[in-house]
Amino acid sequence: MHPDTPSTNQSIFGIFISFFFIFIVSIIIVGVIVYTRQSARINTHLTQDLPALTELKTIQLTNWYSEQMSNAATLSNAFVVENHSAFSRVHQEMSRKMIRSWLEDKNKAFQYKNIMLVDHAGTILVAASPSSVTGPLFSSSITEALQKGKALFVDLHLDETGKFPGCEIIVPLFGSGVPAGALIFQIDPNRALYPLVSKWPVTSMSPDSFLVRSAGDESILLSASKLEKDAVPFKPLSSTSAIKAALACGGGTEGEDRSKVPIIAVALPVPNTPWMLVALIKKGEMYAPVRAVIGHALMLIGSLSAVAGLLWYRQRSTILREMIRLNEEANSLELRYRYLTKYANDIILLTDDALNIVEANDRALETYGYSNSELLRMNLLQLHAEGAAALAREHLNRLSVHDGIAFDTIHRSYARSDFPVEVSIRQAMVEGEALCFCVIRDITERKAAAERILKLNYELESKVADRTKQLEAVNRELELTNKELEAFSYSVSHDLRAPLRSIDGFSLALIEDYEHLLDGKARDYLQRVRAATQHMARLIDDMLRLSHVARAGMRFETVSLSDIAAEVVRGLRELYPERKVDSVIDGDIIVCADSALLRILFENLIGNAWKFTSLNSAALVKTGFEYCGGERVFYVRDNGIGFNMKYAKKIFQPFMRFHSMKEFPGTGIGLATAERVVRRHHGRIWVESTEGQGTAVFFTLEEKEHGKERDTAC
Amino acid sequence: MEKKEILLVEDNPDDEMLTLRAFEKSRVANRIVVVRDGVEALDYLFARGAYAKRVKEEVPQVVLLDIKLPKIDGLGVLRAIRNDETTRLVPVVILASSREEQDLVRSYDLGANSYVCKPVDFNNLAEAAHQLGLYWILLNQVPPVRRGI
Repeated sequence: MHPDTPSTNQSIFGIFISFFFIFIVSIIIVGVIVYTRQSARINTHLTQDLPALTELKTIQLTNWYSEQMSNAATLSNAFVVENHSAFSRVHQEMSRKMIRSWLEDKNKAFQYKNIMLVDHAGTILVAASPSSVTGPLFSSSITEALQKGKALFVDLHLDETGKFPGCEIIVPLFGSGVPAGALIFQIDPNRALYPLVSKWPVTSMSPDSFLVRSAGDESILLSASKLEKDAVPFKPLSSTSAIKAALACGGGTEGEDRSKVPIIAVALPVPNTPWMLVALIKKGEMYAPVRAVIGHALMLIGSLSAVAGLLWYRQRSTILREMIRLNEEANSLELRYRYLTKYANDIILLTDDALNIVEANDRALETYGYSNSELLRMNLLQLHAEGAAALAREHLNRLSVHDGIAFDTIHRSYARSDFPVEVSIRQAMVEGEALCFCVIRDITERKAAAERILKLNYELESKVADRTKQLEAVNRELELTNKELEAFSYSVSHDLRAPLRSIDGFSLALIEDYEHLLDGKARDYLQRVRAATQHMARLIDDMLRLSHVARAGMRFETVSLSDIAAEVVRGLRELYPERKVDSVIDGDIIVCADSALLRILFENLIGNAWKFTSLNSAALVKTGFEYCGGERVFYVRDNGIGFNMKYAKKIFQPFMRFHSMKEFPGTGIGLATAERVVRRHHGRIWVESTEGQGTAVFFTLEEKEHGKERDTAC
Repeated sequence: MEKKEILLVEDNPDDEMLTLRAFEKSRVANRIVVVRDGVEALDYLFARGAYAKRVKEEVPQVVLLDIKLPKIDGLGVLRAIRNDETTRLVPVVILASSREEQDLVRSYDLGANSYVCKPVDFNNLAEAAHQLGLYWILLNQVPPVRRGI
């Protein structure tokens, strides 16, 4: 999350909250103004309108009264006219039936509770409604009506059940000028009068209203719904001071009712009737619509406030949480940064772009020996040893071109001890400020190690040089020795043989030129001298060959062992034509070797075989090879005299002989030479022999892998 | 027909005597001139020093040249012979004490015509002569005139 988001949210939300409060305050101000004006208007309305309405209602009531009285008179006249004969014979059932039918008919049409025909004593003669109970209830009123000779209104009273209100109009009937009876019209006030009293023509106002008998202080009809729960028609009103006041003054007045509720009341006499109409209204009730509006507005404001508050709370908690989280994050970052720098193994310095130190870690204090405040007053260049600062400055100048640089230099501590360091500096813009982040590593150890390595290397090099010198000296010596050896061999071959040649040559000259002077014995001696010198010449030749074999340069090439062996055999046949030897040679034995040395090898091996089979009448010399463990083992096998295997190890030593010179002449150097040839080919050579049966000489030659490699090597 | 002379370059008196004996026994008729070191051999061949009176163009029939010689060795002499216009084609037989390989190879490299191993007996000589196509040297009965010593 971006760190600026919560603050942005916060500001946006703040604006929202401000607008909201401004809105609420405006609503409240408008509400107060409206309420004030409305209250005033209602007050005016009440004080002016209530009496007017009440007056209107009194007129309605007067009209109703007049209408009732008129109706009763008209019906009575009609009864007299239409039922005259029946009334005169009222004792007859027939007449009564006729009258009842008429009464029922009118009762229904004019919605009376009942119409009764009574005699002058008040006894019911005929009634429209059969359930009616008559009695002496109205006798006084009837008497009064008969006496006055005009219709009488019996004011509101409880009916015979004592539960319901009732009122009657009594119209006297006269027969031939004498009172004959009366018609009693019973009116149901609940149905006929009550709606008139309780119903108001305007909906905005519904005051409680009731009739009061103008003569007394008794209410005679209440509107059932308001002041009292039940419609109790007759109830003393003495306790309602406002009504009393109203009755007293006759106009509108303000006061309180029994429960101390402020009210406004109006009392007006209803003309031509015995009644007064009282209307009263609770002040609170008048304000109810306004209050309802205000209540709704307040509820709306409340809800909005609640919603806003909830939103604000949620937002605030989110912001708080976010702030706490950011704070924690920052703290942990700070902590990590602290750990990173504080406990770093390297010196870490933070400098401005002029290299003035602005921050240093523990390691820096520890290494340089300055206090933190001292370091913060210093420049990076001041930490350099004498002479190192100039070079360091050159390096640091590169900072203007490169973001990061690294170089080795020497720093000096407070205690003036110098130590080599590796400095790595990186420049970065931090909040618009160029800062250099310097990581400095004490490389004393590394330098020492490097120096040790250098020293070791130097020592090693000098040792190697010494050794090389020694080796070269040895090589030179060896070369010299070799040359000496060659010179020696040369001398041997020339100088040592020269006297032999003389001995042999002059012995021969003696034998040839002075044969006639020499006896047999002398000739024999001379022959022995010659044989000895010739043997010595052979020895010298063989020794020279041996040393030659050991020293000669090797020239590897692909050669056919079969061909070489065949040539050697041919040479031997020519040399010893008297010998009959069977020679078997495996064909196509191709090897990679020095052909000259191999010739010497075969000359020796096959030559030996030739020699040691000389006593055998059916001599056989076999040359070939067999595979043994993947390796070619070459052999030269004969069926000669053989030798005892206990001498097998000595057989390759020079001058080693196992047979008498007389039987098998030789120098004893041949097998030593053969061994030398094989050794120079990195091979092995060994013999297997059985006395009297024959000898086999085996040898191997180091062979490169078969195929191409061998061809290219050869 | 006058036989050309044979030049023997040999410093060992024994070898010289035995070689001369071999020539004698093989009845070589040519006059044999013996010189005892390389310098003398070249003086003779190029008619200078003690041999200044010699006619240089009368080159020997064959030069028998010992390899091991005082002052200038046999191979040096051989090189000089082959480098000189007049002696360039003179047959040279190297007389060697052994078949030492190096001597043999270098001799042939330098233009030796043949290589004979001492002691020089009749058979060796005959073979060398055969190689050189010098059959005539064996036909003359006249004993060699000895010079020097």
